[in-house]
Amino acid sequence: MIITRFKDPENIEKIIKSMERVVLIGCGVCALDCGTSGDEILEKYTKIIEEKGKIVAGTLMIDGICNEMLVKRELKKIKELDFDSILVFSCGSGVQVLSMITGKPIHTFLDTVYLARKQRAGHFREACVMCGDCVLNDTANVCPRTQCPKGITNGPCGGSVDGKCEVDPEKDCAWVLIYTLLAEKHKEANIEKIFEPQKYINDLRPRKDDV
Amino acid sequence: MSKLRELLENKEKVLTAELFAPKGIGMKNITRKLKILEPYIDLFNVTDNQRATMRVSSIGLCAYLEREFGVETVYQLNCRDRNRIALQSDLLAASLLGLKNVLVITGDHHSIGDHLYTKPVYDLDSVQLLQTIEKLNNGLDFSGNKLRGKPDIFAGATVNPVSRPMQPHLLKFKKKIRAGAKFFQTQVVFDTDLFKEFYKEAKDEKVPILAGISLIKDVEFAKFINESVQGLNIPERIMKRLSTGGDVSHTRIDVACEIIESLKDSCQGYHFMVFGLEKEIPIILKETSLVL
Repeated sequence: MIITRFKDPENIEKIIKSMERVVLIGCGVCALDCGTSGDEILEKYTKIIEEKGKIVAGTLMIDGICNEMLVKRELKKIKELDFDSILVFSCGSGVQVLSMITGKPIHTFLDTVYLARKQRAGHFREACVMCGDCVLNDTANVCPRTQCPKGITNGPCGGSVDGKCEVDPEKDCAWVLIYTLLAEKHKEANIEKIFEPQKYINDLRPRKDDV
Repeated sequence: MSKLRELLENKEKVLTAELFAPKGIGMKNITRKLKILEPYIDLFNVTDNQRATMRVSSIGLCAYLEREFGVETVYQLNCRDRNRIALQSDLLAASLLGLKNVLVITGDHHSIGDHLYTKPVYDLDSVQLLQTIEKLNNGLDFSGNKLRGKPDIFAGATVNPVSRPMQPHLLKFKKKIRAGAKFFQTQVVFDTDLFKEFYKEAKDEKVPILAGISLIKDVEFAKFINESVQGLNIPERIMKRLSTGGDVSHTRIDVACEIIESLKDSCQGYHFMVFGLEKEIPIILKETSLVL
């Protein structure tokens, strides 16, 4: 899932100032799960925005604002409303979908941060940096590009001590962990080879897939 | 030919010292340190934006020191601040300026530095950078394009011999050798038993190792190191000696001399990182008979 976080209050206040008549649209998938969207959030910000003297013309939840076809269908529910801009609670993908479809100014209070696994409600951990050049088959299914803050792919750096990371001593060194897991299965040979540098041609942006 | 290469082949113990690149272009401090050490030290090794704090570049400073003082240097080159294009062009520029020796490092993470919101690069890691240097020395760039005029870069790398578990570090050490590392410089060593344990595994590789030696100013500084410098650990017995009164400068010199003595059959030289106590290096070198 995609993790989003609220911008700082000063920033949000500035954004509210730029609004007139707004509709609030929340995403019912990732943002809902990480607490940056949902009925309660829409209700909370409706109140805050109205307190600042702006008009909230309506609210709407959509289960996946990154899905253009779905958004086109769902927007019919608010077509009678009188509004001049939309405040969206979703990842950056959703912001842009709404902009393209409605042609209206879109505001967001959120920053889109990373791809996560969910441990339990409210607890998320980054799991994949979407590098386009996956090494998990060789690394005991631990991603060094994600779990090592330096993203290095040929073994631990000199700051790794007692199996812990130089950057965050609470955290396991990704490379010690990978080595230990492989050694348990006598598969250290997996990482004896020199891993090639990542091929950033996969990173030619914006990326697209037509399947 | 690189003086470092020649000394590693012929001298019993090679002596290098680290100079911290300053923030700014004021050269007074570094010149003073260099003058103290020059009669005793074989080569000067200059840091590259150490601890992720912005400094004058290692290559620029090394070229300056070689030109002004006729010393030979080792420039450090970190993977944090440059992509593969910049790394190669800096290596070529260094060769053009007459610099012969490079020490390849991953680089401290920017979260401990003074530019917290910078973009860390790590496009190549230290192993891949060593491979790239081998290619340049063979007249090809990373992508396999032919160079017009090839450099002759003598490349080394770092290893942390006292970090445990040792096997992952040993694995990377061996990869660095396969990738072209011709010498190693270690993190500061305080625990000589751990170092020797590592050397037992490493010596068959027959790549020279310069053991990192430091001077611990006092017990407060030792505490600071233990708390804030990941990768270094000053053992309790040394902490005790530093805090038992008396002249702390004698104690720290004694400690350094003992470490040097203890490692004499386990390394090919010493690399000094002394945090402002350069004046004491000549004393240590004389006491350990490394210089006459």
